[in-house]
Amino acid sequence: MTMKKLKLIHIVILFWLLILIAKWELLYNIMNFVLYVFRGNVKIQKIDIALLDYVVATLLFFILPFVAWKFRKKLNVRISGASFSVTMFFFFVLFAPLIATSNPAMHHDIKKCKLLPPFSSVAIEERTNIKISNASSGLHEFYNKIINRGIDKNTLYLKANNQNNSKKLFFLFGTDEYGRDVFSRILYGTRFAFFLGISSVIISFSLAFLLGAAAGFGGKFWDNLLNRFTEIFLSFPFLFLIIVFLAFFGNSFWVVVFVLGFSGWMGLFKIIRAEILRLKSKDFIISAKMLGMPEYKILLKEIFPVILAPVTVNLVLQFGNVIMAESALSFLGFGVGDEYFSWGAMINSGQYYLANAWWLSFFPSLFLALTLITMNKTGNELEKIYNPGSTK
Amino acid sequence: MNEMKKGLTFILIKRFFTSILLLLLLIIFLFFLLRISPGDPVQKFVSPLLSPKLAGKVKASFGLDKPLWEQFFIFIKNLVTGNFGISYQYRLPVLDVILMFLPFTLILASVSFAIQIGTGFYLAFVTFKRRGGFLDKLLSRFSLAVYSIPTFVLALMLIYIFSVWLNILPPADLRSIEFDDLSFFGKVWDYLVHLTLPVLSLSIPGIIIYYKYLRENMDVENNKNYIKYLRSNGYDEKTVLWKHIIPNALDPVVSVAGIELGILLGGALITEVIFNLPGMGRLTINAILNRDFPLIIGCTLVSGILIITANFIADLVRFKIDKRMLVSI
Repeated sequence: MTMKKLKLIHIVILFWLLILIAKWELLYNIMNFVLYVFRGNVKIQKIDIALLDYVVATLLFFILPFVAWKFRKKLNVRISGASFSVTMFFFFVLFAPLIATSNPAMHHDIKKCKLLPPFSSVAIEERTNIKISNASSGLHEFYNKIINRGIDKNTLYLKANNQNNSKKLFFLFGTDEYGRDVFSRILYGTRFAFFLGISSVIISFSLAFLLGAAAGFGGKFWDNLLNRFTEIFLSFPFLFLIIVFLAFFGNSFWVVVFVLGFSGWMGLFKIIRAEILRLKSKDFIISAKMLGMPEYKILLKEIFPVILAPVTVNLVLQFGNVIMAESALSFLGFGVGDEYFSWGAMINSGQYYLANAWWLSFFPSLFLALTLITMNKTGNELEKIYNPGSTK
Repeated sequence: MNEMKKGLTFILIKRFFTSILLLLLLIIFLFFLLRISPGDPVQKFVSPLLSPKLAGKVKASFGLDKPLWEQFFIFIKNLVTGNFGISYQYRLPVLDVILMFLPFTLILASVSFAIQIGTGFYLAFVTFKRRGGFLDKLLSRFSLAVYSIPTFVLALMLIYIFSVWLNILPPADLRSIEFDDLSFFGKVWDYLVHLTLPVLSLSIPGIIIYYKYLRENMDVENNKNYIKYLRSNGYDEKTVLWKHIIPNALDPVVSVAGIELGILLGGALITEVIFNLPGMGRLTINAILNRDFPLIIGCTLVSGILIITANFIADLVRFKIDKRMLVSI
């Protein structure tokens, strides 16, 4: 009974408060730093991505309540499993630096932190960093306090003189073979996966829309040709071609995004083409044509908004497919490489420790499976909204 | 009717050949993609810095020293005569190498396909007969979750449960080390034990896919008016199920089965890599990693032909079930 009264807005507030309570010190520090910069006490010579990440996440964190207030009517719906986990991933993606317990690339003291099981905490002597370069002191202090950077050539690590300086580290999901925090890595992996998924879905969609428009407006010949093409592309296992491409032409982030985007347009194309053919004989399109609207304007202003609703379901499913394909590629060793936090790569490196450190591959697998289940479930629910007649 | 049938077979065969033609275009595209790609396959065998003369010799033996158009001409000539060239890695004709690895893939694919179809259909029938029962509720709740789990995660889970935790099944490879000393039945048992986990991890997603598709379509058909009419006229449940619901529900399942079979025949890439099995998928991956140009093209061609054939068979079966397919093409 109580579950029925729980609304989405309550979940958003709950997550927000949780972060606020757990990380108020960090938030306070970052806000202080922002004020510092605004007052002009610190001169920033170089924009640092990690620092920017913290600041943007904090600002977003404080803007979120206002946004939630604005959309309070839309958020006032009963929660389901899918919407709950979508909200969770939304928080993970936006506020990864705030939620993370340590820097994902930080190699903690390998003597104490190698392959620790989940829920373990370790007391570590805090090391003070001494910057060799003469950075301004406020920024320097901020660096030491908050962004415990893993590798910085200009920093010397020294043992603190007084023994009281030991701090307690808590590893929710354990640590890996280099003493890195698995939980933080997975968090940043969420971000990576979602960014990759969104960018390659956008590529797929624009390609499918262009080709669908060509098939719908270009006449019989183009229609037939593109249809034939789509059929063979649909039946061919694209993983091979993707692997050939990645193995021979290198595998940077954008190459992976483009390759996955270019290999996922077929299903979208079929739907968009069918929709365009259906819409072409509708009155509002015909009248727009009569009024002398050019074809590209009809496409963009009349057809595009109408198509967007039925395609959304497939976009969500395609998003899940892309994430799965990327992790499969990373698992096989053809992914984006080590500088990104890919779940597939984590599972791959964890499988060698399967016998004595199950958490290395278990938690990334769990998050991956959870994401895919969420996406499929969201797709199903959206389909229920868009075509209520179907019995799925 | 006869004329219509003829027309359909003509259309199907035309489709088949168009697919083959497109596959050939794909192969030609792949040929140029491989040739323009950076990196030199000769370096795998001898460093040009060490001995330029020897490297040149090796390159000439691969046929890579000629200009691109001449290579392409030779490639087309060989393709027509059914000769795919000689694999750089194995130093054997590509067709022989593929024939070494193909039987295993065929066996694995057909076994897991049979298991998928059998179990999936059985589950759909059982849950359909006892709608609202325990199994039905369980499957409808968890089918989406199981369906969403990627193959490699499933395989790792199975390895962890059966090989690490319970320690009853081997985690990888096709045979054990002492395979040659075993008796005949021992050998068969050895194969069985080693193939259990791969077949399981290949089959479980497929089982769920068939179950889902068939069950959904059966529900859709079940709610239609003609079934209600038949029931109210007193037809027994068996006739309604087997003569009316299932034939009507089967059509989309068959086209899914065609795609599934194609994917299985093309080499269950990830499963073969995880379990270290000698099949087409791993052969292709190794060929790609070793820049074995003729072998890559041979593998693509063979698996492409298998996929097209599987889809062709699925079309034929669909036609056998429902002759109205002519309209849908």
